[in-house]
Amino acid sequence: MIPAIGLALGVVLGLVLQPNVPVVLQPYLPIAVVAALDALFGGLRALLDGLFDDRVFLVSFLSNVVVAAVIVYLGDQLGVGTQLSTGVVVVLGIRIFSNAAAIRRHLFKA
Amino acid sequence: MTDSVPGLPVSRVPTRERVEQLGTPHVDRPLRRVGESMTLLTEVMDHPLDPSYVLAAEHRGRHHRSSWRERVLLLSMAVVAGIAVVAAVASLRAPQPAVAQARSLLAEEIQTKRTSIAALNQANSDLRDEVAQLRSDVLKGSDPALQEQTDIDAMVSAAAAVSGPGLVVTLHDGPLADQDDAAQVQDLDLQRVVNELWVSGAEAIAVNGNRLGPTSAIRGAGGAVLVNLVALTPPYRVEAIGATNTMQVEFARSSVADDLAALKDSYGIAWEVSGASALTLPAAPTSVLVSATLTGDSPVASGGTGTSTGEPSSAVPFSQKEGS
Repeated sequence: MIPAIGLALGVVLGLVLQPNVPVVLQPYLPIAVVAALDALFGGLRALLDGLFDDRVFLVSFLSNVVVAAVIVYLGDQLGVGTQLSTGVVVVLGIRIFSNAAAIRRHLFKA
Repeated sequence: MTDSVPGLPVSRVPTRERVEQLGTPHVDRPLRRVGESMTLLTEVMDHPLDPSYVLAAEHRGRHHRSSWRERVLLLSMAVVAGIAVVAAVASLRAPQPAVAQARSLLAEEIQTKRTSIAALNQANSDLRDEVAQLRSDVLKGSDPALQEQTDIDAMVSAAAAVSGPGLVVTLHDGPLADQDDAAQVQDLDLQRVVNELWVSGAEAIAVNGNRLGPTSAIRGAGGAVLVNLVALTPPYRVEAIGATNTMQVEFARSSVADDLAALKDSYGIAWEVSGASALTLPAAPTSVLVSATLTGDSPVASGGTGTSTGEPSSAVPFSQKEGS
């Protein structure tokens, strides 16, 4: 309940304040969004498995985003930014697919 | 791929065994699995769920309530996550700032140049008026015949604004002009209309307010029609001063009218011809002739004025050049 209220509050605040993402962070946004999606699907699956924990969800959400961005940043510094982002997207994509499959099994029993 | 995950729980309460089955990787598995050399990939595929969920569920089993501090932390983290998501979505959906900036910079530059061109043109025509005024002041007393000749020359060579009755031909782009370039009015269409008007006896012609002078050209550049090097936007309004009735009849009987009708059928290019009792056409931009010089037997050089009645159509080298 608390995280749901907090998220709604954050979304409203974001819409009202219109925060600007610093230009330095802009290249890492797409990968961060993919990481957030991964955390989201993980949370949904955990919910259906009866294992959901709001704290874990939030921590995994934020840490996923930060770690993904840091990996890409590291790649940029090493000159392999695109390759590393591809790697991150592949891994996160596989996880999203597996979790989506589990969710599907839960919902449709198929 | 997730089929290798053991059967999913029926009850909602996690048990220790199920927790182990679901979450933690089995490191000390006795049998060697096929994909063991690809531990990373199998790990990703078999355990997509964050193991900490399992641990948290196990943890929660022991002590339930969370303290106030934890709740506040949770709330603030949720708020941060919400703001971060909104900020990311907003900035990913916004148009790329660099592109927009370059675009607005270019647009601004174009606007500035246009204004300065307009100002220079205005200054130019003011100066021309001043020159004409001064010249007529000088000539009025000393040589009225020469002044009359100068006025006629200025009128014939489109160096002076003129007015009179005439014909207006308006051409509109077809409705599909955005998708199909052929549905736009082309420079060729305008050229044919203008040439036909010259042949029909027009004495002065302007397209969208750009007077055609001795060195004027109608041409296309990048999908735009240029007259006197000025890009025009549709609709195109061709104003011609001359004998209205004669021109109207001649124009309607010409092959150009047939072509325009065909264009209307094919591309929906609308056009209409209407007579006007009073048209005022501005002066054409003065052309500076650098290479051309007067030949010895030219009438101007010999000073022959003739019995000019101000009938400019008697001296239309332009119409013969343009007529096709």
